[in-house]
Amino acid sequence: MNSKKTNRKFLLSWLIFHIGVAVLLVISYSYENGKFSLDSDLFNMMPKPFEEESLKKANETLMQRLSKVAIVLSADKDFEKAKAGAERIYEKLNGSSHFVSVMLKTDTVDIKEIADFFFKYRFDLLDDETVKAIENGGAEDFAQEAISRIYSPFTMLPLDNISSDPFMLAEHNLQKYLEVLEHSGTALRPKDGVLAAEKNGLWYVMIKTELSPAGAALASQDNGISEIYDICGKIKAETGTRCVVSGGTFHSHKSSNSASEEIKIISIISMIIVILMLTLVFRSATPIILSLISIFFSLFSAAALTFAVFGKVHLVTLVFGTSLIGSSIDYSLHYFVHASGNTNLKSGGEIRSKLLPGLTMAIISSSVCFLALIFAPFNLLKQMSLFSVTGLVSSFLTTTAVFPYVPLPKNRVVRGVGLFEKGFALAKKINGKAGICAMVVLSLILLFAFRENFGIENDLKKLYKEEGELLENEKEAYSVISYAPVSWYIVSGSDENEVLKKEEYLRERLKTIDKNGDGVMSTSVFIPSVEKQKKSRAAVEKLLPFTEKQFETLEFEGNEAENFKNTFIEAEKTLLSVASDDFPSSIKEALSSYWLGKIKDKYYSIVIPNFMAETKVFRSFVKGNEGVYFVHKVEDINSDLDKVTTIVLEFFLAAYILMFIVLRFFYNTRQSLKIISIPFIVILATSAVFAATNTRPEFFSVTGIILVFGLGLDYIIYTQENEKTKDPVEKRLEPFAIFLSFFTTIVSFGALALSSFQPVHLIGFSIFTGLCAAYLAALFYTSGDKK
Amino acid sequence: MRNFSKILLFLVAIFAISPLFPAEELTFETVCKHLAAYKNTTGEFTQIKTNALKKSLKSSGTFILTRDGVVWKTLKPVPSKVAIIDAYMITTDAKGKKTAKSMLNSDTFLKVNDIVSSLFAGNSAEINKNFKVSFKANGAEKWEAVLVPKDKTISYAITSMNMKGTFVKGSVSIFMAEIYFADGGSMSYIFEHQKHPEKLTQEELDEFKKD
Repeated sequence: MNSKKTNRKFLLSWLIFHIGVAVLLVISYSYENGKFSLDSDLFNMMPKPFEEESLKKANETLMQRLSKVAIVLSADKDFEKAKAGAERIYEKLNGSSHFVSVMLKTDTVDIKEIADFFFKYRFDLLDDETVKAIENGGAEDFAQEAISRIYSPFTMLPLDNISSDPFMLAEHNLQKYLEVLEHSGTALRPKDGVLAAEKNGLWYVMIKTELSPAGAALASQDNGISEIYDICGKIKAETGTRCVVSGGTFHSHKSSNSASEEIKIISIISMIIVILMLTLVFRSATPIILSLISIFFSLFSAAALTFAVFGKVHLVTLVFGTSLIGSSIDYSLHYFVHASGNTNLKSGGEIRSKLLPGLTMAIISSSVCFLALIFAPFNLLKQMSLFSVTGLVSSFLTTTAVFPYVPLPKNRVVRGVGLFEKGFALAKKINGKAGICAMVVLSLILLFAFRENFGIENDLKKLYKEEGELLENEKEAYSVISYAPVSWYIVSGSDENEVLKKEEYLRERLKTIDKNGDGVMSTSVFIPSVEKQKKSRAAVEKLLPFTEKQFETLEFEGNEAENFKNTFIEAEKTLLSVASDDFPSSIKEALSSYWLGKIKDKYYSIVIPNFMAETKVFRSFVKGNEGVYFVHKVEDINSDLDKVTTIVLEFFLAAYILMFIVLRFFYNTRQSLKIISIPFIVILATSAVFAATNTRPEFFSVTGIILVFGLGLDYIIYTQENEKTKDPVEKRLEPFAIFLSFFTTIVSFGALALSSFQPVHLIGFSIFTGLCAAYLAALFYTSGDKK
Repeated sequence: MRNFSKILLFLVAIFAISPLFPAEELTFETVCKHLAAYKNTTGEFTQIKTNALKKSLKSSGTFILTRDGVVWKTLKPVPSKVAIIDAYMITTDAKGKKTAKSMLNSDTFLKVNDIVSSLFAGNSAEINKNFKVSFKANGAEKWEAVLVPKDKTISYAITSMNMKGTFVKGSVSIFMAEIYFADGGSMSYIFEHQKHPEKLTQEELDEFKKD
């Protein structure tokens, strides 16, 4: 009766947990308006710089925009063919739900719209140099130059507004604006209505696209990049015109595809090996089916809760999640080894009672380590942590709550125990203390021999290597486009004008290192601050005394001069601002790249230098310039990875101390010290293997080690628990169960180490090495006791 | 006497054969061929700029056209000069201040420059590549050509160009050009006192100097 009650209690916990997770998933799904998504962007799995929440958000907004830009160059010896190819790509992609925008044609620029804009704000947009010249007595020269301009055969704007703009201010401002644009952006120029460039005998026509959220869903088969590759493939097959692609999103697509493929392969191989092993051991479908059910619930609840909490889950979390197959099956294996082989235990409830202390300690130790990561300031770690803990708890509950309801087999035999015992007997012969000492000494020798390779080093370039056709594409595209900004400034301010003023100050300072006059792109290039606009007006005021003469030269009769002066006074009401949104679509499009707008309580914008300089020089302009931050994508990620790695190690230390305190409640000091020595040995051995294989420990491998801390402690805990029993059958079976646990876990993590995707490979490799060290140490500790 | 007879006979023979070589037909290719033969062209121009509101602005000056560049010197109402050579635009204001600007980065400018050069140099292949040409001969000595740009970048600014010229005694000249802009405005040129010297004077060459 008691046993039934206990069973029901366990089952109730199982139901509460799993139904709770499912309910949370449904609530979160409706709260997020069904917008759960799988994130496969390479940069999104890296830590984000900046402590300030709104600044972090601003940087993320920018990174998201950049990560969704995909550039396609249609390349052919013949311009017409290259253009035709580009037009086909444009027709196919434009209107597709996978793209927010697809740009090909330059003739869509509305000159009238631009002319109207420069005319409307003609008094407000004079550049510093011109303002200075007029202020210093150059007003008459400016007026005369305007007359020359009017009669010149080369004017940009129509002369329709000449009676309201006798000083050709609109033309002057447009020309200065074009001079700035000339140095900015890509090296491609308008040709026959498209942006094109000729390089090494080939014509390249550019199509710039921005992926929509649906198009950027790279984990699915149906996305924008696949659509680009599809149409490019057809064009190449039919006309020979090929596509050259560029943009981070193509790399994300490639790694995502290979990661997705790898998930499949890793899962299938792990599953096959585990099933084979279980079939050999149990010769029954029941343990296998139940273990698979446990894995299913484990993965489902892990994924469900992670999606419910985060909404968007990174693909690497799921890749890592496949390792749950190995760790969650540990609990099932322990159960079924006893269910199939321990005839002293008469019911599922008795098996649970026997296993509960060990399994509880195992889940506590694992959860403490995994949960430590949930406090790390890095979403990927938080996701991994929640995913793993949820999966393990589910697996633990299934083992302790559901399995006891399954009738025990009639023929209770576990095969392979004898074979294992032979091997185990050999291990027992080894002096445990000597074995542990040998592991430590060997590790130290290796560390000393390969000390040059020792030390934490995060290098983004090593995590993802551009290679093959995509690398060639990037090289070719860069040689044509000649534009790939890697660093920029984020400028913040309490209001729009403050941001613009800070931008202008920064641009002035940057001018001092801009030797070739390549300039800087920012919002204030298009929309000057209120102060600058007022200065411009003050300069125009100095031109007013020359108005009559101007109209006289232009042979105007009437009161144009007076009208013009009145227009100038009236125009004071029309100062230009970003908020007014009163600018041509071409400027709006440019601003969308630089103006981030209001995020939380501040306004943000981006300032991108069009020239290269040493990072430290760029960074020096931030000093004393409050609200201005320098961002170097790669360098910042590397340094942030270093910071996060250190944080992870600190969490590891905290978890280590916490674990020792927890262990002291359940074990004596000697046993606790034995258990707690495992992580130390694991770190030492893994560091030695990493040094010997010239693999620098970095963020992902350090994360792997902390996971080993959770998983690896299970072996020594089970071993210690087994020491307590006097039952010879249990004594025989438990080491075998531990071995099976180790084997299945190592199979799944070992498979991760085979991944070509560096972050996954590094996690897998460190866990593989660490688990081997943990198991060996646990084995030696046992044989040490026997001696 | 015998010799004189021989000469006379030869001249008669020449005149007798001459109808076998008919007068050159006035076609666009003929105009181009003759324009291409000029190494340099100098002259005076009158420019009338008309905006969409039909306000006209008249200016006048001199021009020099060579195979390497062009000088556009406005004398009235305000003196100024624009010279284009080696992808540089050199502007000189009324006070003589020169500004040289490289146009190498401006494909649109280079394209327009190429087209203008091809027009004056009579490069028919280049003209036909860039324009749809409608040519009309008005009698044996006058011609008119309407050029509509094929390139979208150009056609976005210029809708058509109308050129009028003469073909007198094997000599071709353009006496009028009208450019119609997409915004509704236009620019007309009248070219007068044109000469086609083999070599430019030093003074004329100096007009192309950047500094």
